[in-house]
Amino acid sequence: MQIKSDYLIASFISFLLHALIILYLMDFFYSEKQVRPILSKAINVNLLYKQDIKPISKTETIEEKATINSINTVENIISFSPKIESTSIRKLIREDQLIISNSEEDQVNQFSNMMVQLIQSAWIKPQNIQDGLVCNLRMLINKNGRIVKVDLIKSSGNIRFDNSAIKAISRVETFSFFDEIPFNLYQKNFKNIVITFNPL
Amino acid sequence: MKIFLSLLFFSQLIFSELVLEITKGSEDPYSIALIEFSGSKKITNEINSIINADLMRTGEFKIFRESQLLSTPTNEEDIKFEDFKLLGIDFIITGSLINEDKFNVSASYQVFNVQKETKIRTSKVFGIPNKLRQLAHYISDGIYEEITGLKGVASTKLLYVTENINDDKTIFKLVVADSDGSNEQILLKSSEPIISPSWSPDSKQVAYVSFETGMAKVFIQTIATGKREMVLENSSQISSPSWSPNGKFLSITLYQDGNAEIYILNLKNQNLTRLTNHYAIDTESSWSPNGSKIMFTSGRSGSPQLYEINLRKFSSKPKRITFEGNYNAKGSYLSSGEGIVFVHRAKNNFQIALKYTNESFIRPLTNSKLDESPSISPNGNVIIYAMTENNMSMLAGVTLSGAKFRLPARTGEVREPSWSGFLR
Amino acid sequence: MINLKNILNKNFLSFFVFLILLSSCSSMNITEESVYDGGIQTVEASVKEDTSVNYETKAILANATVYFEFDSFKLSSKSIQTLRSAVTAMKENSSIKIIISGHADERGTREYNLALGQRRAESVKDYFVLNGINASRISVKSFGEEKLLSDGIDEASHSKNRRAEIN
Repeated sequence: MQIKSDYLIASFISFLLHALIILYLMDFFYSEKQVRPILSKAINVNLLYKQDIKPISKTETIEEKATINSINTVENIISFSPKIESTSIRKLIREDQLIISNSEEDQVNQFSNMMVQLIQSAWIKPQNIQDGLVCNLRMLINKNGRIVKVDLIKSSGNIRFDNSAIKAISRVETFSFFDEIPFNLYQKNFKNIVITFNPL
Repeated sequence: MKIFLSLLFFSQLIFSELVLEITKGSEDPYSIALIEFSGSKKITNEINSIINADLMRTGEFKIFRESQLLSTPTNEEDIKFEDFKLLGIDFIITGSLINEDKFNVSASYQVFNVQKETKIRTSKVFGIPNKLRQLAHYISDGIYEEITGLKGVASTKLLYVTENINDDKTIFKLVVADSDGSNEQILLKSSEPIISPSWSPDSKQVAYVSFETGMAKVFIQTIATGKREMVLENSSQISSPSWSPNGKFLSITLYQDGNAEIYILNLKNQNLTRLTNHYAIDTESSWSPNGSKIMFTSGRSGSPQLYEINLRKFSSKPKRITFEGNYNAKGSYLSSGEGIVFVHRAKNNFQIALKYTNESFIRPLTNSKLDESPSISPNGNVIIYAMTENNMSMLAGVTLSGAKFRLPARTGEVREPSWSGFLR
Repeated sequence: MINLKNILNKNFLSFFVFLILLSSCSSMNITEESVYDGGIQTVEASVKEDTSVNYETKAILANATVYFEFDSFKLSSKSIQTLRSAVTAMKENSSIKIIISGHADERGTREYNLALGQRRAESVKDYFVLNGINASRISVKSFGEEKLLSDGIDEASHSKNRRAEIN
């Protein structure tokens, strides 16, 4: 392989730009915040039959579970909260967090479902592939829903299967509904996603 | 889909006398734009049409030629990626002849990723004037590898037998050809039948059965020199030769007990080791990719079925591996070892089928009446076989992704194809 | 401790990033290769003409062909009748040596059919031997589906090919 000087200069500039982008994405510049784990939750793309999404809950364990029958108005939610035994502020805060996280969870579910639908309809499973093959891809998505990068992080062992998964993602290209996702939610859950292709 | 099929229909080889027929594409092709190579038209026309045909035969591509594009770039800086994105094209291929004189023909080619708007490959291939087809095949393989990550087989060779009747005399030929059926070169000419040709692992020798002495005998012939020798000269009938992956052994079928049995011959010291010992027919041996197992066809259950012997557990009984249907024969292993390809009879029709080791069911790959002698490409993705139509046999291929193609029709019969290893 | 972790991570991250960028930066594949296409030598097979044609045998055993069912090497009663007269001919003329060649129809794989033809020829040989003919007078070989008498794909054609010939 011949290394020309053009390549070196281009490499260097590219290096700098890449470094800046990656460091930004890794929240490098926000040194005040805690070091976040890079891995977000995994979305299972189980095609054709099931849509199983198991978000990893980040909220603290809750001792009492409030039953929410409708999410129409804030008042309703508050009115369905369980009896407050004592006026422990901690308890009240915890309940508030629960309410917020539940609606968050719903939102996450909702948007995840939409993503799964899009990818599913774009995925053409290759023929004559063995059953039980699974591959994992990681996507980096920007705020506008555009898939900036796709990486194969776990191969199924069959190149054609892996290729078909990557093809599906590149066909989708952009999730147009991403502008509906509130920024915090995007930061936390939708920027960096791992997808499992696991056909049933 | 319709557009894809009609596009396929228009892909013709310009220079070859024979026309390639692709009868079905795969469902999930990459869309690529193949820009005409720059350089002397006479040469670039042929190179482009061979690359087009090679990539079509894989069934993995939907190819856009210049007339179907919104804009045609004359060089790298000229590429308007937007025009290609609008057409849904994933990759662009450009190339040029770098150098041609009496002794050299070289070409360079580039592959661009349309979505990323970047060049992802630049390659040079050095060739010679009368090996122009092979140069084009090398380019096709490079393109295939860059886009799919799999090794290409356009530059590999096919070995097969032809039968022609001239003036009431029948002539049999053992032939080596390019993967597209062109550039035929004759290895052996005989007035008696030739069957079961098979490549040595290094693709430098072939073994085959010839009836020239009046009965079935196995010969090993070196391709470059034509030098050949009869295997086990003093023995009687021998057939069904198959090389071990390390090239040191040849498994063969002997009939000395009055019954077809499989033996392993040590090519160096001529020692024979008996593999099967059963009054039923045992033949059609073939080796697993790592040389630890041999699969063969046996009639011991009452009809031909496939069995497997683990060479590391020599004394154990052969294990039956096909259970569906009453005729399963001529098995060979996928290069990954994950499954087998064989001839399977379903309702009176003989078809080529695939079965994965960890699955219990058979996947038919072809669906005509008399499909035989499947041979798997070295990248494990394409199977070439002989099919019969209108009472004539010809070669056809099917890819695991579902694409089908036929090799050019010719006079006479063509059969018993065997795929070489990688030659690049 | 969090601060320490921060610092360690910072260094590790930048080193890691540096490595990645170095290896994948201008992620373009650059190759060079030369075409290799070896030469091929043609060989012509010299076929042995069978000079030892025994005219006597031919006269006596002309039309001595027995037929078989699909995928079978069992002798039918009709076959046995044909063979009976052949046995007699051989007993009368002790100098006669015969070659039995077995054949199959074109369905199925070539090698399996070669083995099937062999079994058919062996069946015929067994009959001769069981009826007192010395085995050294009989040689056996198979042509599988390579010498089809009839080209058709119908059952009538197939049945003509499933045979053992005595010469």
